[in-house]
Amino acid sequence: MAFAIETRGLTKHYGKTRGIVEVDLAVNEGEVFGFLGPNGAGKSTTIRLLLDLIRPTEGTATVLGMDSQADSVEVNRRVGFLPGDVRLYDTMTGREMLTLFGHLRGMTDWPHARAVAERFELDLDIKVGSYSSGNYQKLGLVQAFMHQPDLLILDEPTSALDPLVQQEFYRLVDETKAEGKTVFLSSHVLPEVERIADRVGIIRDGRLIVVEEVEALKARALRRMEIQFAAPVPDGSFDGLPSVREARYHDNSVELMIEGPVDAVVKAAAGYEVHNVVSHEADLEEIFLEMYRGEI
Amino acid sequence: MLRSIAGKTIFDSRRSMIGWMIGTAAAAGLVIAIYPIIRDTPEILDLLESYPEAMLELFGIDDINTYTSPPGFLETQLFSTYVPLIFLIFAIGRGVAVLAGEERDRTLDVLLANPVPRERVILEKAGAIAALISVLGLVILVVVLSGSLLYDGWPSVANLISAVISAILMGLTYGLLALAAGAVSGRRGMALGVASGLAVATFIINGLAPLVDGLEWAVRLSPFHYYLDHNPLQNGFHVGNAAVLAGLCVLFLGIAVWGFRRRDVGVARS
Repeated sequence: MAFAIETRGLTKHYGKTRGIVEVDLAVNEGEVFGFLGPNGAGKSTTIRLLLDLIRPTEGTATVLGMDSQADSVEVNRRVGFLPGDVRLYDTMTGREMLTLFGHLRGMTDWPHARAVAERFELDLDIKVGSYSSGNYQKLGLVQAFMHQPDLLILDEPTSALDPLVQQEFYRLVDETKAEGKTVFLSSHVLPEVERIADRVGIIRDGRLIVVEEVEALKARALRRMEIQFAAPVPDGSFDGLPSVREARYHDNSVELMIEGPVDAVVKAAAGYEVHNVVSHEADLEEIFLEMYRGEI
Repeated sequence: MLRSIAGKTIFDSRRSMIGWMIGTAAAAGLVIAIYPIIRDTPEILDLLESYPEAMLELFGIDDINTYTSPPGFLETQLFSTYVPLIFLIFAIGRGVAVLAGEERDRTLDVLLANPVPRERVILEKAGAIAALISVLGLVILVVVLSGSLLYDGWPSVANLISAVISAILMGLTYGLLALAAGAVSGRRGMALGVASGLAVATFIINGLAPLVDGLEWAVRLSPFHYYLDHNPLQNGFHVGNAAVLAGLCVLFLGIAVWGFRRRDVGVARS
């Protein structure tokens, strides 16, 4: 299978400051790839290198089989890009800005952009500068999707979007994938990408430390579960159960760190009178801390 | 108008442009209106004769005897003062805003995400600056031409057009200098500082170098020298001087393209 994005030894230093270091990334055509990492880890640097906004110190990148630098114009023709913390033309209306970008892409009409704007309930006839931050981000997304590109590169696409619009965005990504297109999106929180991404790559301190299927990552991820009982349970009741990594016993409750299925835990708990079960989804930091403790 | 980067750049200036046009027309109109006062006050020549030569040179008065003639008057009172002031402030302002300003506003990322090579971004923005300066030139031309209805001995249309072309080329030279400084550095403050600093320095060199023994040659380093040295209002178009200014424009455009193509965008802190 061809790669939509492939980088080899991609390295960027800003003067003496680290950008990214020897990133080898391969994104398959037709997949949704989540690019995860804390703020400042190098996500935007990687993305800006792919778009030829900045030039690598070392290494190469190909996008849709084309060299990111030599063929940057052709890359831009086939890629839709949402910059991180996007800034748009505040003195124009949304419609005026899309008209300009449409013409720069040789499009006299842009029905797809209108359709996306409609789904987001975005009014295109007011000045961009007077948009709320949510509407600002919506317009950024509309311009990225407007030419129905083969590859979407979206830097923190859901930031500033309210939950309902996020759902609409997830549907849009699903449909885009169903059309055989590739979506590469970055985020600093796992739950955001785990529901739409096929695979995730995790970058930390400028290095790509893991690329994995979302399902595998979730399975390996530790989750915290808290069970509250009617009365104290004996210490050690949950020790040694499959998938329990750690158990702490409080007065009337137990706090567990769980990796994998919770079946044995639930069955063990059933022997007592259970008042409540609180399960916390694993977040990115916990995955970092648990999976890579001592390895980094 | 929103079909190209050049059109968009002009579109951005559409409101402020009205102000610039009114201001330019007012300045030119005022100068023309006071001409009869100068013409009918011969004592002014006595006053001028008492001025030190350096002062006259700075005011662009080459020859006191032609000062009260329409071409001499227009050259000193309009084309040596208001016109460079207006054209330089306007051109440098545009030259800084269209690229370094857009980079500071961080809208360059979405613009460059379009399938447009960087050199085309520079060329279209430079073209927009040239068009906007030409509009101001046209305003000057129309207003000054109206003087020929009022006064005798007014410069010919051809000579006025020559002077306006000269002014447009001079303004464009500094506008493209500002564009180039922004394209190379990515910093708005740098672009503004380099362009306005050099504008002031070369203006002073043009005025003072001829007065300093052994430094007369230095006047050739100043673009202003090639703007009015040939007295276009009396002598018409000067191919050589126009070619020098046009050459500088091409040079700065080349530097802008080179500087913008080679560097990282949106990383400088200005």
